[in-house]
Amino acid sequence: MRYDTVIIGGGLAALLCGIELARSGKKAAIVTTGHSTLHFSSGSFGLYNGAEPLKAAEALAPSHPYSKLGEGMEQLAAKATEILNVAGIATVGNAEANHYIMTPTGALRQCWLSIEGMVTSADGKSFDFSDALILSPEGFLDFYTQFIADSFKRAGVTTTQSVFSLPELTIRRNNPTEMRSVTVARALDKEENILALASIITREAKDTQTVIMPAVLGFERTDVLSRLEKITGKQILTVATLPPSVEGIKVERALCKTFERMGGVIFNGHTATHYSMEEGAVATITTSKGVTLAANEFVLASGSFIGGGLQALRSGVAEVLFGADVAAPAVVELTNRDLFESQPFMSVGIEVDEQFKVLIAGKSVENLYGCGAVLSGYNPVKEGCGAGVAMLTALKVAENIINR
Amino acid sequence: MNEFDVIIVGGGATGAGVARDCALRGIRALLIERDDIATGATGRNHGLLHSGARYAVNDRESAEECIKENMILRRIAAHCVEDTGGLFITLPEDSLEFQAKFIESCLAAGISAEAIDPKLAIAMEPSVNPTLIGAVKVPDGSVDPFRLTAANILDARLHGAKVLTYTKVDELIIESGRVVGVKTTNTLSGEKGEYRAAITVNACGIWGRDLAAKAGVTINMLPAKGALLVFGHRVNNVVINRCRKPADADILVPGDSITVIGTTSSKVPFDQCDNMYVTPEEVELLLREGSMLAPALNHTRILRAYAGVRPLVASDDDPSGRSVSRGIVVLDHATRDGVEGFITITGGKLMTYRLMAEWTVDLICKKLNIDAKCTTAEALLPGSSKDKSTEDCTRTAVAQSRGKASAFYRHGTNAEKIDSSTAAKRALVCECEQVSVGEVEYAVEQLGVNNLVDLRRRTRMGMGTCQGELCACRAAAVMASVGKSCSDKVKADLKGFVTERWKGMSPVAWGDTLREGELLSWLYDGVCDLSNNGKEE
Amino acid sequence: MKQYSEHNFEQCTKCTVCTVYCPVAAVNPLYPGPKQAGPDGERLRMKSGKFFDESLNLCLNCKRCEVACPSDVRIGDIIQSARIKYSTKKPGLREFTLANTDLVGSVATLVSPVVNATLGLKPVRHIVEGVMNIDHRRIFPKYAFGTFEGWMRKQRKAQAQFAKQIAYFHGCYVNYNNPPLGQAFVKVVNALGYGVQLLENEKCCGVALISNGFIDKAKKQAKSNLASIRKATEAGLKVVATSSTCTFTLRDEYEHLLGIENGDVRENIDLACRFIYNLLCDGNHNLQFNPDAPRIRVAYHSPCHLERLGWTQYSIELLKLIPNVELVKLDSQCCGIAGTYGFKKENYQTSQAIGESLFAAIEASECDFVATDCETCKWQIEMSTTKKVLHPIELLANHLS
Repeated sequence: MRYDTVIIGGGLAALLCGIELARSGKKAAIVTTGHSTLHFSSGSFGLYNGAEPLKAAEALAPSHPYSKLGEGMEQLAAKATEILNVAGIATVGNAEANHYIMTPTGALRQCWLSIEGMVTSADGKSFDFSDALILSPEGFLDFYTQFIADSFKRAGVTTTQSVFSLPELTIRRNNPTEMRSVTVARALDKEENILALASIITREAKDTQTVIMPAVLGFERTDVLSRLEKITGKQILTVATLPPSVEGIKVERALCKTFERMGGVIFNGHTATHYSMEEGAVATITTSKGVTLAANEFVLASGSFIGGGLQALRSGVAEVLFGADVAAPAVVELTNRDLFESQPFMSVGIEVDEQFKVLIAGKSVENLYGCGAVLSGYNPVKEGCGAGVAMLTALKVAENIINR
Repeated sequence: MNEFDVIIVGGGATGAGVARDCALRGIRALLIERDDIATGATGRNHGLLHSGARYAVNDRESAEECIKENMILRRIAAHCVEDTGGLFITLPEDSLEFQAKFIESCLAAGISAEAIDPKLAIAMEPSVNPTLIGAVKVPDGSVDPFRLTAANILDARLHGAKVLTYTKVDELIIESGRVVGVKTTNTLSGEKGEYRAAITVNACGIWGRDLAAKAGVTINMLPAKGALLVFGHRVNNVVINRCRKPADADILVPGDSITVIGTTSSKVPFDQCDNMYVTPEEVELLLREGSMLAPALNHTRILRAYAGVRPLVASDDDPSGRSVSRGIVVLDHATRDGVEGFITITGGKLMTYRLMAEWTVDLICKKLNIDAKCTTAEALLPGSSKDKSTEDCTRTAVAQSRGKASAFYRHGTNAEKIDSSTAAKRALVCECEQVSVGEVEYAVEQLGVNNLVDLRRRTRMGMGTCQGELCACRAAAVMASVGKSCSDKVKADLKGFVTERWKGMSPVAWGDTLREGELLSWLYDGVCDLSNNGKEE
Repeated sequence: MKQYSEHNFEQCTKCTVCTVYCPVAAVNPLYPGPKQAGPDGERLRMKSGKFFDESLNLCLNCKRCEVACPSDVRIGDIIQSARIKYSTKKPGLREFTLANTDLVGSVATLVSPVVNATLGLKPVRHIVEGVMNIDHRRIFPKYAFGTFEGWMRKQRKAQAQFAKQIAYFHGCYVNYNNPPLGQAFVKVVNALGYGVQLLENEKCCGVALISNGFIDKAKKQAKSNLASIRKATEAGLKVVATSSTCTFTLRDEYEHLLGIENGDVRENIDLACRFIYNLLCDGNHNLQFNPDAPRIRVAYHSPCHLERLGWTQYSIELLKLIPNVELVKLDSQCCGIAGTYGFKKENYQTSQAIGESLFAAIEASECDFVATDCETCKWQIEMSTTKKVLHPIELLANHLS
């Protein structure tokens, strides 16, 4: 099969790149080994830690992916936001100033964008409500309300905690492991359950105008939160849970559908295993399912170790498909003994030139671009820039391909 | 309140064994441990239920002790022991002559040792190195040191002993040249305490040197570090040893859901005993030698690396400290140093903890003029049963409650005490090792659990493939709701737990282990932002 | 390249992605779910076989967990292999009847009018439920009067005229229930200049034998089929099947579940839609379509095993080539039948609950026909919706000029 561009990887970077290419009229295909790390998302997108992320990014080392974006970082950030919105993902926040999102353990973490309807704070200290009800499904182990309650307490918000159940959830709980976020979210796709929950909210919240819930409001449906708000008249806000992340899955699904709607094709469950070159350019890739795809350009958005783009063997780190040049220390130096210190492996990745063309044996391949977590030179966790690098480098690559 | 017959300092297998033996003989005992039980050398070894074969050639006495204790433990601690059987294999580069000597020595020590055809050995244990040229079958097995210690503690308490964990001995109370008690600090609350007893037993392992020093007594000890690797699942179901002079990394032991290779042996300074890291060289050596026993280790996921310290004691008649006693060392400081009321029990090995306790309590009885016989070789530990095998219990439980089926391995028949009557109690906190909410609650309420790491030692929570990725947070929440802890304490505990898990993962962080590490870091440092939580405290 | 271990389950990072995509766990709390039944459980079963839980029989082997897994863990294979290794449930009369599709089919096609009429009767279906534990609401596929193999014997001479030849693995369904699909396939392939032969001795691929616990018989049939496929391969013939499940079983399940080596011929076994699409892409082949064929709206449903094969796109691209066919791609999801799974009384409710949203999507699509590459999906969709289901090859044949 032949496409204009084939993208290897199925995460945030791959999907944004794909959508941007598809809407510019390119015939694009995505090849991905299963689902992406969006399944562990916090419901927010980080650009860079600090009060003003765009300014902070100006001072970065030349090896940082942001340094290769040139002048257009602000525009790319705006475009990324626009694509999320086109896909139907409503977001809060902007690139000029970070805001804060509440994490599952009640910390307030800086972010650039957060999905509308989640608990956020403008200054990381205060909220615009003074009391709230924290309501969680009974027997749901991936959300601990006391963390949230104590965090609010520090910010001067009084909370009460309560649990709810629904007949369907009572049945689901008979499975000792599958009372997961998605299970609850699926139940809340059903109108009868929404109505039942609405009356529980009304009963439990009494005079309290704000209700905090784990992010489990609807799996297929995206209007559950607004439905509940409409019926109850309360403000409803959510906090991310431990994986699977319902909000992250919804983002992935919305982006996939947008890509397909624009004519893109997704080969899911395919691992790119081989490639062929012609005259210094990549001609085809072949997948684990025996499908060979030809294209004019290829985008490597295959992620880091967890995504499968990189592999650490005892002998060293390698990029899995092309054996592209990798900037990495020896394997024994990949980690810091303290988990909460900066982990060197986080910054490991492939090397690309100024146009994000992938380097193999020191030379850039003219039609192979790299973007997202497979890139080297940044620490997504410590810099709070994982989503930002994924989206902005993906859009930059799309721009370079379109201008080719 | 604070008066006892005996104070035992040290909550490893030995200390727990002494406490139990005292309690069974009607002696009022207090056990004091500065950390949790089984945190020192006890919890940091192979978990090999030695047949004694390993010592047969060089140390007949140890070999005889081992086989005797082996048979006793199979009976009294059935739920802590697995009868895997063991093989001593000869590889092409080893000498078959050693095998003959080995078998002869085993038989002389009362250990059944039968040379079998290498082909039969492969059939018995398909993961064994197929190039082997000889194999001897011995009655090795595996023993879970956490369970064994916990069962001893449980029984000691059932019979009236008092156990204080997270309690540090600040000083020994010495009156007219006699140790009459201890002054302590609770390391969690800072609360001070003072306890008195006619006899104080030093069962602190390598840390016993420091306790002895508090009584002005010198014991020459040599800390010997032994590093081990844990593999992600059972590679072998039969213990595999190398049939040669004992050397590094020549024992491969299946334990519960994993396999352990070990150990290395190196001298370490005393100041490192509390915080040991496994070096890349040790990892390299363990993998190289381990894969000689079972080649599959080369491509099996390594969960983590850890190290323990053996308390080697220099023989008293050798002031240079070079000659080391490998056997059990009971020091009566009254006769040795003129300090009454103070006994040190050290040397020995996990296998002989019960015998060490027996000798110690015999001495205590003599000193206290108590006429009571030791019954620990016959009395079953709580959880062990003559009638019900773990396998049978698991089979019946598996259809009703997955958590319960696994719990029988961990608690023996005591698993019946775990509440699994409702969906809420059956819900699994740890999916890899199938630890239910009910089991967490049982451990917190009955087994003296103070934090997540203690919980791991009692239940295997977080010891599976993901090393606590999902379950740590869940368990923290369940524990907090049982113990009503404030969330700052819970978060500090959570952070401590994942930090401890990562400490073991980082020396072997390549392949899937690094992928797991990335996810762990992403979840706890990223999504949850626990470092940020830490700053607030 | 990513394989670090012979134990594929070790690649599992416990990320929980598979649990999101299991159709069974989503509707049936008795099923442990792919993570627990698969990699988590396997680790414990290596400790002791006592950890095997008969609830693993609730897995319908759709392999959607495998498609979803970001670590390439063969979760479905792990679960199915555990069933094969540890299950002590003995298959009964029902399993025998459902599993032996070729034996039952060859009898039924002789007297198909009687069988069809009888199995269509409600009282009979209740008796079948009582005796066999097959749900009375389940509608059986109709048997054809005379087999496809019988028809092919009459075509032998005509087919031999073609210079280029392929071997067709028709499967039990085409042979006993739907010879017209086989005939459509022959028509299309002939139009591309290929003659069609049968394998020397085609037996049921064995998918139903595997899922119903007849492993020894499945192995026997697998060996027999592979022998025939090897002969065809040596003779230079590509082996092509219209059924996505037959193709998947021959290519993957033989090795992964039955442990029967097929690597030498695996790449020579192809699916009809892929085979035809690739021919059309090589620049030397063409199909002439009837420009006056009526304009129809077709909703394409991708069967689970086709998703696992990774070849859905070939069927879609092929359908897109047909003029006057307006294609709607349905969201990929399991229809719930999973071969013989949905026939069993205890699974009926699970089966229909799984398919519920697919059925709704089909009705909402306002299509004239549903297209799919799998015969059992066809039964399920035809029973559960108002739409008729065709194989893409049938649509292709219908639109040839």
